[in-house]
Amino acid sequence: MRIRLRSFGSLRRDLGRDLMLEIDEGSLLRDALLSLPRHERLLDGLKIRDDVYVLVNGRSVSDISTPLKDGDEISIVPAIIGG
Amino acid sequence: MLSEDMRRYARQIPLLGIEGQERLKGSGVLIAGAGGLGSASSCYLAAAGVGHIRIADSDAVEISNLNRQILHRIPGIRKAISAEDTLCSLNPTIEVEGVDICISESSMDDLLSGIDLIVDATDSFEVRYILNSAALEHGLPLIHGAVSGFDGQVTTIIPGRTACLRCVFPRPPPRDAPPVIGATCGIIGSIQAMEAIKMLTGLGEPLANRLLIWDGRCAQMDEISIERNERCPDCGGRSISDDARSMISR
Repeated sequence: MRIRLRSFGSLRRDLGRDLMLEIDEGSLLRDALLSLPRHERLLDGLKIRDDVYVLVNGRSVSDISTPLKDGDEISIVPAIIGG
Repeated sequence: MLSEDMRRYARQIPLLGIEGQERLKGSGVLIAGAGGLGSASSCYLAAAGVGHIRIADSDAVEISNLNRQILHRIPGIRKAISAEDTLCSLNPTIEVEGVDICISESSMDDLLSGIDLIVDATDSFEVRYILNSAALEHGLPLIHGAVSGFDGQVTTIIPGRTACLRCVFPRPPPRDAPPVIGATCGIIGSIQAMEAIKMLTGLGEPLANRLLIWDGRCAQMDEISIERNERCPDCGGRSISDDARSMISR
């Protein structure tokens, strides 16, 4: 199945701006994230890092066991804190 | 409308109408934080003629603030006082109230007295969550903004209608004091001011359920469609308030 993955801000330099991933049917969010060459920028072991937010179809997701389906869109946003 | 106001706002009344200009004059905005975002947003809201601006900050000006916090000139002065002085001189026809207070749950009811809209110009997610909860409780729009380096983000939160801050950012990131280019604060703070003016006058389409992300290194603006989380501990299941409905329907 095809999953679109967009990353933003400082993460773009490590992950690429807008990717189309081909992954197996029944894959989970972690399968998509682990397929990225620089996945350590996103993951701390098998958890999403504290300074990164992951959204699937506009919904913030904390559980990397979230199932994906064809056509899903993953957005990866770095924590932006300052005021 | 006073003839002085007609002259002062002559270049925006064609856009807002006299009714819109009067709405700004009759509005109260809380700007939470007198730092980089608070500097840009408050200057444009004051200049636009928002009738009552309350700007809250508990810090003193440091020399390292001056690359971006254009409200301030002199290190050592309390930011609330410095902000009030600058905004009053920018537009003497409005009421400006600098409040030297640490924003907390217990201070929110007083801070929101007479307020129609909140601008998030803070530098911590713990405080942002307090603003988010208060906005939901009082049915007030919250214009979220944040900056880091060359990057920034902004979204308009309308209680009961849009995702709230906690829906999108369910846990606080690690505390940090990131370096930032002053112009990043100018870009994001100016968008916050624009969103506030739109919400207060009912003009345009708000940045609702969209997170706008500015990448200053590449000069690119992107957006992510965001959705409410029905299980959100802050807003899940809340219906739209009458006050918010009134604000949105303007």
